[in-house]
Parts: sequence; C-alpha cells; structure tokens
Amino acid sequence: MTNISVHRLLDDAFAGIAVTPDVQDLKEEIRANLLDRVAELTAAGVAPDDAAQRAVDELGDVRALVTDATADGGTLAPATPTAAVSNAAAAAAGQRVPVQRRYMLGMIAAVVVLLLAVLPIVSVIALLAGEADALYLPAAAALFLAGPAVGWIVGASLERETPARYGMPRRRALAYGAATAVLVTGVVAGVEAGLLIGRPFSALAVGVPLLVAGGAWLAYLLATQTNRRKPWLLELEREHARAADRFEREPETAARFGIYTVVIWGVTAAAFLAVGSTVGWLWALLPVLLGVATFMLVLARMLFGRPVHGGEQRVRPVP
Amino acid sequence: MQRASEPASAGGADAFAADLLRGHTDTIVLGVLRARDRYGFEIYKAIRDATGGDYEIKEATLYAAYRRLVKDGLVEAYWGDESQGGRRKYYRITDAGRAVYRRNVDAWVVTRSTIDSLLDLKGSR
Repeated sequence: MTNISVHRLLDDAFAGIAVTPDVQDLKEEIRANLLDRVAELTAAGVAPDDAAQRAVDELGDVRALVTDATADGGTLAPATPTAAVSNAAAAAAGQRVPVQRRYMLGMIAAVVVLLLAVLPIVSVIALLAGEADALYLPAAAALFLAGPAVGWIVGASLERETPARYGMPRRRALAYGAATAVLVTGVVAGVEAGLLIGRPFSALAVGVPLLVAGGAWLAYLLATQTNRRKPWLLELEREHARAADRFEREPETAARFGIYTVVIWGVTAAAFLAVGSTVGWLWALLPVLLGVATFMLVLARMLFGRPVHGGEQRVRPVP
Repeated sequence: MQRASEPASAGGADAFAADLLRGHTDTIVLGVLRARDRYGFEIYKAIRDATGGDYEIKEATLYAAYRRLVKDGLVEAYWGDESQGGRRKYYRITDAGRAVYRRNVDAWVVTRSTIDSLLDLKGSR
C-alpha cells in the first residue's frame, strides 16, 4: 500500500522533533504534497514503495527543514520584538511614501467637482425657496456629479501606497471606486426623487436598485479583501496582541479585575440611586461618570501595569 | 536548488543559475500564485515545469518561503476541504503580495538591463 508507507516514512522523518502546533501544521502540509508526488512517480511507472521512499528522500533533512520553516518567529512562536518595529513612529518614517503630484491634483479636482455638485442645490433650497423653479432642475442635475467624484476619491486613495499599506491593484481599486459611485448615485437619486421632487415612488424605482447594486458590490469587494498592511505594521499588531492578552496569561489578574468590576459598579449603582432620589436625577449622572472613569483606570492598570511575575516582589508589612 | 538529474557539483554554470533562481524564490512563488490559489505541490510543479524540468527549487526552500510570505502578509494560507488523502494547504496572494510582486518585477527588469550592459552582452556575444 502506497499510502501506508508514505505515512510511516513521514512519521519516521519527524521522529524526535518536538511536536508544536507549528510543526504539526507543517507535517500535515507536507503529507498532502508527498501523496501527490508519490502519485506522480507511480504514474510514471515507479513501484509504489520505491516512489514513497523517493518522495520522502527528496525532502532532504527534515530536521533542518522544520528549523528553517518554523524558526523565523512565525505567528505562533513567541518572538522577541525587533528593534525596527518597537518604535512605530520610526518604522513609519522609514516607510515614507512621497505623495504623487497626479494624486494631489486629482484630489483637488474631485473636491471641486464635489462642491460644484452640492453647492447649487443647497443654495437653491436655502436662499430661493419657492421661487427657484428655473434654477431647480440644473441644480438637481449637478448633484449627480457627487457620485463619480466620491468614487474617484475612494478609488485613487485605495490605489495609492501609504506608509502603512501597499497600494491596491488598479482593477480592484477601480471596482471599489465604481461601486461607491453607484451607491452614492443611488442615494442622490433616492433623496432627490423622494424629498425634493416629492414623488416617493420614483425614489424607490430609481434610487433603491442603484443603492442595492452598489451596496452588494461593495459588500462583495469587502468580503474578498485580502491583506494590504505592510510587514512592519503586522509585526506591530502582533506585539500589541501579545501585550493585550495579559488576562489569558495571568488568570489571577483577570480574577482580581472581575472583583474590582463588581465593586465599582455596585458602588456606582448605589450612589446613583442615593443621589438621584435625594438631590435629583441629573446630578446622579456624576457618580456614573466617576464610575466609568474609575473602571477605565483600573482596566488600564490591570492590562498594562507591572506584571505579577515581575522581578520585584512587593512584601507588605503585616499590621 | 540543484539539477534534478545530476549532482549540483556538475558545473559552475549550474550553480550560478541555481543561485540566481533561489535568490528570487519569494517573487517566483508570488508570480505562480498570481493567477489562482495553489497548494504546495502545484507550486513546486509549476516552477519545475517552467524551468523545463532542469531545476527544481528544494522543497525546504519553498516551505521556508511560504512561511515568510505568510508572516509578511503577502500570502494567505488556508486548508482545502479534500475528503480523502491529505488535506492540502492552499496559498492565496494578497493585495500586498501583488504590490510587492509588481515592485520586484520592476526592480528585476531594471537590474537585468543593468547587468546585461555591465556584462557587455548586447552585440558582442
């Protein structure tokens, strides 16, 4: 049996290597690839057992492979923070991306178009209410410039590389821009038909389909969005995640925090009722405010304060 | 990376070519993933086929490359839903990966012409 000998050989190759989740993950990945390689060799006429042996041999030194593939401070290994990313400001400065002239000019043009789209209708409504029938139609038509303008701003901004993020591929950025333009145009059409012209039905007929189409398109794009963050930002986020999981690492801190929470909110509730029923309910908001402030201070202290297992142990004198 | 059929020590030219290829492993993997998601053996085969079967990038090199790419957010990994055999780990290129790929290809095109002119390749071959 081909499969059995592959699995056995794989187990042999991994014998003596400490099984961490990372290593287990790698082993399963290698297993599927080995099976395919064996199938390929067998199809080429190699005897099944020989094929298995050859496929495993081709892996080379598995111990070195595991070291190479897992010892780079991957997501699961507790890596020490690298100096490069310990200081977010320094990291961002090292990634400075010059703003393109084309982007600047386009942005200014888009904002001007947006103002041209919105200002006429606003001024017509605000200044000439009732007697502006002649100006009304062009102003209402101009409002439709808003969709393309907003769409351009969205698309161009997404395509642009920033210190923290890579630029989005052009076609995808274009799709985001177009979807936003459709969505905004739907809103414009709906608002105009419904409120300004006073025909709610045409608002439904024109606005809602555009709104739904644009919304669905955006939802699809957002759901299929992949990572754009740069490595230094990812590393920074991993560091923050390590800092914030203190409650998982120190259950006793979490337990103390739970007790404090109950006490703080119990006292706050009592003070709220007492002040409210005697002085007045408006004044009762004061104890609530104090309660929130205390709670936040305690939370910050618990999460980022000195670790319990830190170097110095504070010993309190017994009274 | 080494010659599939004979030992790596076969000749200096081979070592030179293998070094060049290996130096671009990450970009090559990103390029292979550009069209669609693939799993390890598919990637390995695509590279092997593209070199006409002359070279293969060592699997250890590839596994380390996947790891690095995932960590840097250039590629996402997910397990397939095969019902039999081993479950395959698929890799998908991210927008960040596409940006880095594009940048590396641009750099390569520039470098290639620089090296070509430094080696005085055009005309004097």
